[in-house]
Amino acid sequence: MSWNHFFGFSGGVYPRHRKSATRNKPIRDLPQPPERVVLSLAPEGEPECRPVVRPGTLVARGELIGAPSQNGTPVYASISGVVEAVEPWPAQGGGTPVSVVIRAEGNRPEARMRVLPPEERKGGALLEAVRMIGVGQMDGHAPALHLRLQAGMGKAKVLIVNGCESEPLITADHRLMAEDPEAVIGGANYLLKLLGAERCVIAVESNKLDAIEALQDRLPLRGGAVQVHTLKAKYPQGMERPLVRAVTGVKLAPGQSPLEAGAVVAGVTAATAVFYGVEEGIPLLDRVVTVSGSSVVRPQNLRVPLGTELNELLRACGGCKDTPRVLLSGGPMTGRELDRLDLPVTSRTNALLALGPKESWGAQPNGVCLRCGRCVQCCPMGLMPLYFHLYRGRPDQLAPYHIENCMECGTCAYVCPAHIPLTRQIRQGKQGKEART
Amino acid sequence: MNVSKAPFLTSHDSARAPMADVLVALIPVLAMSIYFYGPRALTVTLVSVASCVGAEALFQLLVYRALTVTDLSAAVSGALLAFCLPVSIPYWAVVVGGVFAMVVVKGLFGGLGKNFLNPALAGRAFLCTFPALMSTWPAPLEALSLTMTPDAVTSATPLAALGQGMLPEQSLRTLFLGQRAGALGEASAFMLIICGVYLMLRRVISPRIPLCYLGTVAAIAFFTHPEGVDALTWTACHLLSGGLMLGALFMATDYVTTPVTKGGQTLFAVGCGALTMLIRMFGSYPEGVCYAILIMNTTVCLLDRVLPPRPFGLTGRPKASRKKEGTK
Repeated sequence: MSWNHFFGFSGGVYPRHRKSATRNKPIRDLPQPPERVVLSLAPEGEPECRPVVRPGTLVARGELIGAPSQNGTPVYASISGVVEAVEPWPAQGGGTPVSVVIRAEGNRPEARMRVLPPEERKGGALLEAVRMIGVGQMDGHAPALHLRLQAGMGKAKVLIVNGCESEPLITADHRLMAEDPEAVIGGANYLLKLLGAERCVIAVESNKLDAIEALQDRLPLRGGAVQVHTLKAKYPQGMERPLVRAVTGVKLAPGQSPLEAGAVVAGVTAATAVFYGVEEGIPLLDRVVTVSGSSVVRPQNLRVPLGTELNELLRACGGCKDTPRVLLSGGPMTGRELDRLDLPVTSRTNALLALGPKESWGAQPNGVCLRCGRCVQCCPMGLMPLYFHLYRGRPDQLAPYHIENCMECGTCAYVCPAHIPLTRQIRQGKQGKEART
Repeated sequence: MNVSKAPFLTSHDSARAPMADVLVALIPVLAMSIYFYGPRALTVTLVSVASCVGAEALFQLLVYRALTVTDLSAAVSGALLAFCLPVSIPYWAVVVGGVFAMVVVKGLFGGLGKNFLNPALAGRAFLCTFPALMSTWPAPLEALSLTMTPDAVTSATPLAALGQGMLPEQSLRTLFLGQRAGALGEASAFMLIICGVYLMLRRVISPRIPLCYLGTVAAIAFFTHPEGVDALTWTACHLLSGGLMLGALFMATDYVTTPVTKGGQTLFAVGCGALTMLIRMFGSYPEGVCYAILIMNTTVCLLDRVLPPRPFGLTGRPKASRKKEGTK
């Protein structure tokens, strides 16, 4: 193991990962398929697709319902049924994009994409096939996968498959790697061929030993372009810039693409989707979501069709045993707070968490900064978050402190003994800075 | 502005946790000082804590109308103030010192987190304006009266001897275990080190400042030992005498008045060490810790800016030339 892997990055914290509730639970489907799904035609920041269905159209699972723009991502029906409506519908991001609402009905045979014959699986044809799988922007806020791959073709030296999942409570990628390692490795191989890169590193944190073993079992002992690297289980190892630093040693500036370090980063779920899309012609239709938190009766990992409403997932897990302190989509460090549960699952939703009062915290906006310096010690980006708090609302005094370097991992707010909502104040400070410039 | 409220996890229960840990760490030190100086040590400490807490509470009621004394910072300041004082100090002086520390040094600047001087040390420095009170250092193991201002039997402190360029009459072992004249908290270097290590293990303080401070004092003492005196013994005497252990472990590690950056903390500690030795060797005071730390407290803002941490990826060096690919 090289120094880079062992060291990872400076700063960071070791929160209790609290994954024991779901890390050993195999991925299950919903006990009953959802009654309806709501599929946004502009998934996660992508340009809007043109709908090719109308209310009343009968669709099969896997059928194209949103034709993509030139470089956009298509949308597919995740269940078979009848289209109820094509209209604006509330989505998790807060907006109301135009969405296709499908009511489950009947059981039509699944539609598949055209499967490329093996000799054609390279170059532009493979890139187009990957685009039509519909992965898009599922890996956080990075640009769409096919755009990243297009930019990296011929230039990337290493493909990094991000299996870190360093946020507490989430085990979706973990179970995917442990149960379907061939798909992860197969998808990585396709991406590697597409990029023309020398090697692929599947980066997994050390708290997922069964996944590491499952992957290693299917890789050659020596040599081989795909390797599994075990990284220290420190939060936020799974975020892009610490990950690139741990694998390649290069520190990216904010806004810099990983290609500057010769790397292309893809998530485990994306790699799996690429495998099934290229091998069997199945587009991205489902998503593994970890439902967890101390308030959930039966936490588990569920594979749900995209567009399923979140309350269906919670119901499948027995609902909540008490009123949760906070309901989250995504992880507890970077997730979105939910005030309603009838929002649809998107390709980016990796967890639905119902945190009880002991796990979550009440921020104290009037907390007094003790200048203890823990936020400075733990910041992975080498910033001084306490000054973002002390100088909040005063952009000219904030100027020398590089607020744009913050990747909003939440580590500073996590360690603050005064419970000051540092990350929130940093986000406000960044908005204020953008407003001025 | 509608921004996300993430994160939703925390690693602490309350802001009291570090303060409570410090109080727990000070209890054995208090026990040792009671052993050496008698029950008056306990009463002086209790009066100090009570006057600090009371002064802060009263001030907050009058000014802010929001009581925050339960965060235990006033109690910690009270205990540390008591540990800087000789056991023969009259109670009224303790109260005056406590009120000065909490009201003038802390309260008037904005309360918790806003003061720039260490309140306990500043209170002690204020009490030095009554020189008669602060320069009588009772010998240990003499039970002093609890109520009356005692006529103590004073003895020469080790620092007085060091200031003269002679080794103190107490052996190193005595200095280490604490049986010599001094302030309450200087009682036992042995116990202070144990309690300091406890705080480091609990991650309340980082070892950086104490190690750099003590290291600087040791280095300066080692290289400036007078003729005819063994260098190591001289260094050990300097390290174990006076309020150095207390200052390095508890005063120079106060959150509010010390730098937050690693580089800043190192500079702070080295500066404290240098000033301590300067005052001990050339100043008219035998003890330099108090004023050294107070002077360095005034430079903290500057120190934080001189050596800030390096922002990730923004160091200005071109990325292509720094690329090192990890090998398996």
